[in-house]
Parts: sequence; C-alpha cells; structure tokens
Amino acid sequence: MLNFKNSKKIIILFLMPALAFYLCLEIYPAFRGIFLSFYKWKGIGGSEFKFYGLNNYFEVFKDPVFLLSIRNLMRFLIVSLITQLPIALLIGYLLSLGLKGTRFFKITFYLPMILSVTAISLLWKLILAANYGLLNSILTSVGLEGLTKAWLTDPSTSFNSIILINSWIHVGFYMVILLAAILGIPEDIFEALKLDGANGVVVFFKIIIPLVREMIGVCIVLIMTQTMKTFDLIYVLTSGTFGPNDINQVPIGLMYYKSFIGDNFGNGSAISTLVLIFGVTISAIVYMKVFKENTSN
Amino acid sequence: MRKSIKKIVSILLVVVMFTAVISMFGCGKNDPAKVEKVTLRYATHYSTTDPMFAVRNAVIEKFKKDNPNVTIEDENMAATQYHDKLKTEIASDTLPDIFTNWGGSEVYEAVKAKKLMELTEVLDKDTAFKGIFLDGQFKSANLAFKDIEGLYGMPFNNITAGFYYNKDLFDKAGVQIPKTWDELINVVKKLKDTGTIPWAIGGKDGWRVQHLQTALAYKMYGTKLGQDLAERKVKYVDTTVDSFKRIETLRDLGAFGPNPASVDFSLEQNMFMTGKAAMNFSLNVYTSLFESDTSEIKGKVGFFPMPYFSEKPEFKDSVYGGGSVVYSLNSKLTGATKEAAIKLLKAFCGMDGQKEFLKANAIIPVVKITDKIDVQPLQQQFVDQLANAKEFAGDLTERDTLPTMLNKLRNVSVGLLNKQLTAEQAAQEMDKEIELNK
Repeated sequence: MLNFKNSKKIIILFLMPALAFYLCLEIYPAFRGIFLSFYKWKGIGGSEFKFYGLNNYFEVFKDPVFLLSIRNLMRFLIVSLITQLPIALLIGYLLSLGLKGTRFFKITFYLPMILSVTAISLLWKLILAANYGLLNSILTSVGLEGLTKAWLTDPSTSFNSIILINSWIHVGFYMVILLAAILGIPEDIFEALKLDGANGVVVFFKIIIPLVREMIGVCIVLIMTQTMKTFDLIYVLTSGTFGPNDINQVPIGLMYYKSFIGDNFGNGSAISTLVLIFGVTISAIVYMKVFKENTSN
Repeated sequence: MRKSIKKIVSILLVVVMFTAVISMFGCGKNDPAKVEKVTLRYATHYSTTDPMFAVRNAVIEKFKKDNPNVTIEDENMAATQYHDKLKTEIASDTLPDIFTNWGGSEVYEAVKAKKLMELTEVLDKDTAFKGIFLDGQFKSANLAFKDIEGLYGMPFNNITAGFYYNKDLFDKAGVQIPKTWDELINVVKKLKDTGTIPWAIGGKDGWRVQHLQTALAYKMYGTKLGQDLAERKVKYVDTTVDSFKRIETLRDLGAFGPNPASVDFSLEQNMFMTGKAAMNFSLNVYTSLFESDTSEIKGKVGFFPMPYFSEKPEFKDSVYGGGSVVYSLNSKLTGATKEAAIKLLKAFCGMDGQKEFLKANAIIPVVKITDKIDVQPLQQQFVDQLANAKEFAGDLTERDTLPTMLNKLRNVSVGLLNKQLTAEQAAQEMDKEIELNK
C-alpha cells in the first residue's frame, strides 16, 4: 500500500490526469458559462461579442417560458423526491431482509439504470402513444376506454408522465445505495431489537431511517442534481420540442433552445448560471441540514 | 580511340538514363489519374421513406464512381433532428463541407459570420451551369438575406403544398373537390358523417400545422404578409388571428380525428395511405410515396389546391411554395476539397441530377428542363400549381431575421391544435417573441 508521506510525488502524479480532465471539462466550462452570461453573443465565432451586464438575466426573467420552466423544475424536484426516495428506501429495506428471490428483484429494479436513456424513452413513447400505444390498448381491451389519453401531449398528464418515467429509471440506483447502507448496520442492533420484540415497522422507522440518515442525504443531493440536469429523456419523449407548446420545458431544455436554436448564448449562459447557483444552494442546504446535524448528534 | 568511344557511349547512357528518370517524374506530375485524394463531409436531411432519399443515394454512388479520389463521409438524418444538428454545428463551427439547408433565418447568422461560402464565383466561372436555372430562381426569399449581398446556397428544389385526397372516400361521402373554404367545411362534415377521419395531420410535428397556417394566411392576405411581418410593418395579432381561427374551426369540427397533436408525421402519412383518412394537406414530394406499391390507395389519389376564401378572391392564386432546399458549402474549403465539393454540388443542382430527381417525381426542379420526362399526373398538378400561381412564397417567417420565429410559429400552431392556446393567444405569443428579442 502506498504511504502518502513517502510516495507524495507518485500519488500527486497519478492524480494529475484526472485533475486535468476535471479542470478542463468541468470547472473551466462552468466559469466560461458564467463569464458568457454577462455578454451578448450569438455563439458564432466572428459575430458580435459585447459586454451586456446583467441584461441577459433581466431578459431571462422576463420570458414567460423561463418562468414556466422553473415551475416545471420545482414540480419535477418535489415529485422526484417524494417518489424515488421512499420507494428506494422501502425496496432497499425489503431486499435487506434476505427473502426468497432477492437477487432477481435487485437486478430487475436496477435494470433501467443500465439501459440507455434514449432507448428507454423510445420504449415509453411507444407505450404511451395516444393512437397505437400499449397502455391505451390495454385500457381499451379491459373496457376502460374512458381512461385512455394522449399521455404525452395532453397538458394534464404530459409532464407527470415524464416525471414518473424518470423516477422509474432512477429508483433502482438509490435502492442500491440505501441497501448498502442498511446492510452496513451492525447485526447485533437487529438482534437486540428482536429480543425486545420490535416489529418490522418499528425497526424501519426507529433504526433504519436514523442510521442511514447520511446516505438519505446523499440520495437527496443526487436526486436533485440528476433532476436538474434531465434533458435527454424529455428531448426524446417530446421529439425534441419540449412541448407541445413548451408545456414540458425545463431550464436545461430552454438553455439549449436559447443557445442553439435562438442563437443567443448570452441568455443560454444566464440560464445555466442560474441553474448552477440553484443547484449549489440546494445541495449546500441539504448538506448542512443532514450532515452537520448528524455530526453534532 | 576505342576508349574515348566507350567513354562517350557511357556518358550518353548516363544522360539518357537521367533524362528518362526526370521525364518520368514529369509524367507523374501531369498524369491526370494521379489526383489528390480528398474527403468530403456531406450532410442531408432525408428520412429513409422520402422519395428523394433513393435518388440522392444513386447520385452519390455515381459521383463516387466518377471521382474515385473523393471519399464521402455521408451524414443523413430526419429533418427534425437535422435542424438541431445544423444549428449546433453553426454554433460550434463544425459545419460539414457540403450540406443541405433551407436558407433564410436559420442560417442568417452563419452567413453574416461568413461561415458559408459565397457562391457567385461558382456560377460566374461556369456560365453553362449558371444558364440552366429558372428565371428568378436566385431571387427566392430563402436565398435573400437582409443587409447581405451574395449567394450562399445553390437552389436544389422548389416545393408547393396542396391537398391529396382519396377518390373512393370522396365518392362514398358523395362530395366533390372543394373550391372555396365554405365548400371545404362542407366536405369535412360529410366525410365525418361516413365515419372517416376527414383530414390526416401530424400535429405532433409542428411544421405540419405551420404549413397549413401559412397556406391559409396567404389565401387571406397574400404572400406579401411574410415580408410585412419580417419588416415589423404589421403585427401578428392584426394579421394572423384569422388563419389560426380557421384551424380552430377545423379542430372543433373534428376534421383531424382524435388527438391530432399526438399524431406524428409518419402516422399522418400512414393514416392517409391506409385509407383511414380522406385528405392530406402536404408537399408535392410525397406523390410517389402515395402512388407507390406500398400504398393501399395507389391509383385512387387525387389533387386539389388549397381552397380560397370567397371574400378574398384577390388571393385565390396566392400559393404556399417556392424555393426550398439549397446546397451550401463550408467557407473554409480550399484547393482540391473545394473543387470536389463544387463538383458534388453541381451533381445535385445541375441538369443531370435534377432530371434524375424529376424522373422519380421527387422534386419540382430549379432548372429549365426541355427534355420530355414522364412525370406522374399527380406530381404534374403540383408543378402546374406553382407555375400558374399569381404569387408564391415559402414559410411565413422565411424573411424574418429573428431565428426563433419559425420554431415559435410551429410551437403556437401545435399549441392551438392541442387546445392550449386560442387563436388570439397564438398570435399574441408571436408578437411577444418579437418583443422579448428586441
């Protein structure tokens, strides 16, 4: 095993390539984006590039589609948290009991995570298609024709469908994290509870949740960052329109639209900066709430 | 003496050998077979079911055979994705060497930033090529850029839209071809009574509804409307509400069947080709598809132009159509690559290529073809519509320099079809887009 004191140079040397990639592909673009948000630029080399102050931000906040995208994002975040986290925790707990078929269910729940999002989106597009989709066909065949809908274009169901598909994809990932955390709880605690006659519900709420609190915090941060950067799923499900008429628009989609369709990299960068600020703030709050309190406890 | 003869012979032999070697080098330089190898990135936007796709492939194959030194990196994808790809490549300065586009606002900024090659020189250097184009073809709106002189796309095809209809279903409903809007509404009602979907429209793909909106707007205000809107002389709310309202009327009548906003373009075509829908307002390029062996309505398809409004007879022959796709070159091209790209451009826009596409009923050509070429009667009606039009123009936003206008028009048109917007709101959204980007 390498000793840091003796092998300092070698360790630093090995870290350099990763650090270089991180700086070039993550940190530099982020700061470049912030820089561009103060400029008026069409995103084409040779076109006008002038300082624009905070005007890009003012323009973005004046745009009703941006405000709609923020509302959508908030809904996306809340529904993702209240669906993914409890389901992942519950499944993780059930799988930790070592019941029959655990391996099968573990793989099944995790499967959507290893498939390409584009493939999954196309699959759901076929399931939810209004005129020939599987879901509507099933509903019709069991006499529930009245419940059939244009799931992906009807304003009342469209965005909810997208959120639930996203939850379906990712719940397996958080399940694995939480399962690992549950399995890490010392066995003697469970044995002691068994002797005290505690039932499953008590174990779940009094032991599991408090002891995997840190991992729940990690999952909250991961769910929020994943949700904020969701682009491909919505892009494919809406055939690249984020509509009809922008109803499924999210800030990342609007950033793409403003930059690449609207030739307005200033506006696009302002949106990405706002998303960055929002993401960092929310993550910091969660971190302070979960980890700091845990440390003080 | 012998020695000196030997010496002279040796010297002569050496001279002959050197001369031969040098002349061989010279030969190598002038040998036409030894031309520089080049690779061209070639990008187009055809779906594989598009009748143009097969002809395009044949033209490419012939070009490769005639130009073995040219390797073609072929990049083709459906139009919806291609629009995004094009914008992304303009922004990232990675445009292909030769590529199709629709001119107009979509490439305006790229033209302004000199990313596209100016092609006047290509025409001037080859007067025979220049002379084959139809009169006025270079004045097409999609080639004219506000404040910018020059030619940045070589015209490839003209398009126009009209109604395809199923003759059997019309007979069954006992209706005739409608000439006016009121007659069209009557036809829709009668077709609906027979249980047929009167009109297939793929409202999920915004361009389908936008084409209809534009065709209606031209029948109400003439093609000058596009120019006036682009120059901000008139507002959308004052000039386009009527056209949006007509779509509302059709939607509420059930003309487009259930959930038209969730029908995509391929399903739209399928509905018409399987006889589930009686009419389809579409582009001329699909004539060969509807008359192909895979079509269940082969031989039963007729054509009629967009009916006019009896209160606006002056715009009876104002038609949606004109210059459509153009071929552009990357301005970075030089030397042999530039020459090869120009050659390929001429293969598509030149006489031979245009004839091939016409034979396949895939385009309305941009060149004067004097040879007798048998064109499907259906395609010929589209050609005649454009030839006899009093005036014609492409998309309503074609002359607009604000790049988001076409997308916005498509979005609000779908929003209207999907009952998210009223006609007034759709027009207001268009004006808001202008206001936001002032």
